[in-house]
Amino acid sequence: MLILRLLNSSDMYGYQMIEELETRSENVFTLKAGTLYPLLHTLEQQRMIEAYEKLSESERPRKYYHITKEGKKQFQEKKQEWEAYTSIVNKVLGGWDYAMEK
Amino acid sequence: MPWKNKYVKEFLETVCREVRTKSVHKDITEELEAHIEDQKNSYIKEGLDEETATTKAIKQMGDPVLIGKQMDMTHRPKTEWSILIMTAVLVIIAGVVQYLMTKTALGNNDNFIRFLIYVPIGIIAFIIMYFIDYTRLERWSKYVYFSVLIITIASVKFTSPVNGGYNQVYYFYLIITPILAGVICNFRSKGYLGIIYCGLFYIGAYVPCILMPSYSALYILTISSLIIMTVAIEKGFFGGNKKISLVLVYFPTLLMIIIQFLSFGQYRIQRFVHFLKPGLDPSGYGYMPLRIKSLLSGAQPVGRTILARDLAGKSIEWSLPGWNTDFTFTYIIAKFGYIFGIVIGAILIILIIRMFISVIKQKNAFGFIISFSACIAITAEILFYILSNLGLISPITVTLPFISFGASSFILNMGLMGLLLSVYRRTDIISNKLKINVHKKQIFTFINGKFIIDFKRKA
Repeated sequence: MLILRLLNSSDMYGYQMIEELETRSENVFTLKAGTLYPLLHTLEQQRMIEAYEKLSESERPRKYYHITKEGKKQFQEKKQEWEAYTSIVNKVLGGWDYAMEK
Repeated sequence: MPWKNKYVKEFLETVCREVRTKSVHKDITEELEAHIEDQKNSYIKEGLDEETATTKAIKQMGDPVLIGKQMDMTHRPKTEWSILIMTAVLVIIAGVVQYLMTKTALGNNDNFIRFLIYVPIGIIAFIIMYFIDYTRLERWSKYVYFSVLIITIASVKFTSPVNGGYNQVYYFYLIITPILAGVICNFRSKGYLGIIYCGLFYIGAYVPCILMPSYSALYILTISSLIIMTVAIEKGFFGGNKKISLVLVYFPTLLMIIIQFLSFGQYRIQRFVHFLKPGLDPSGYGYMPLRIKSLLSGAQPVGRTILARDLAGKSIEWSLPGWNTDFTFTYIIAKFGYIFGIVIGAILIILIIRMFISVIKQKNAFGFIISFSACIAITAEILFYILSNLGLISPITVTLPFISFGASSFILNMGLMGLLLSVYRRTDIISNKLKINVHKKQIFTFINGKFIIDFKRKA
């Protein structure tokens, strides 16, 4: 899901994803490259993402990943699930706080 | 590469050792290598020396054996069992039909034996196509195209026509369709000029059809090519405006049809009229449609059709010329009952649907267009054969894949099927990166009568 979130904003290559994830989560999430690539390849086979090769600034071809329509749909679904989940958790926690305050 | 370190190499080799499918090794290696390089450079920027940075970068990757194992799981060859089984069932049905036909018929004695000989050859053709790496066809398609063209034209010179035509033209159609698809891939992202080149290649394939002549082959070739080109354009194969591209394909085709019609119009109209009203010329153009009609109208659920009027008391074989070749499907219905016809028809329709599903799953552009063309070739044969056999279109000479008698068509269809399944097999095990060089792309545009070459266009 996090990978889909990253690709939802722009196309990226593997290393970029790890860096981006670290900066965005303020180093809370660090994804090992060894976990990332098999995951990317699996997502590609599920047609959530697709890959293409592009020359980068350093003129070395890089494999970029791009989110597909299906991937976007999947991401929205997952996001809603997650939001529903967190809101319930927040309600429980919020209710607890309220009870505690009293 | 100068920065290629021995530890990096060792790491990558360990990963690849776990991946059984060799064809993806290069892709995985390149990707992981680029990653290690990026990671290393970032450590160097942080102030580490090259060697420490490299070791740290490799460590950051994780366990190579585990990565390899996970990669191996995602990149396995796939088998399309349903298509494979349906093909086998059709071949067995063909065997039964040919056996029964050989038993009942006069002058047809060795057909079943010949069937038994050509089936193994067909299976070999299937296996070869199935295990061959079809991606090689992309590079070779132009050469293969010209060789096939030359061989076909040469074969016309050295053989004599049968019934005013040459059979090889039909086989030519079966071979040339996937090759044309390969040629189309060669002109990928070449813009409108690419489409024009594809048109020229199509016209090249048009020549043998006219030479022989075989209008059935010509029609199927034209329809198949149009479908393939339309899909290729819709998929954004050539780049450029899709509408203009489509006009570029359909306008010349339409023009050609009109010219054809003007030169053969009389004959075409006549055939069409006779098709609609077969009674007009019962011994000429209307002969086959009338026969099919009377054979099918008396068809029973199981068993022999009931023949009435002038055909009463005559045998089905006598009533249906071409019963063992062009009209086998009609024959099966008339001889064994329409339930058999429906069963065979249903298998063929499911087969067509399964084939299209397997094609749609293709991510690789070349694989997609190649398997799509094989699928179109087989589908066109089936549809034209069934329609012609049911008397829904005027009779044309096509074969029913796997079922109707004939060594060449059986072997070629098995080859096409092998190709289709070979593409499916390799869905997850070939490199499927699109190569995009943003700055090198040239696209020709045609605006207000000016030919503009646009260098800045993005893919």
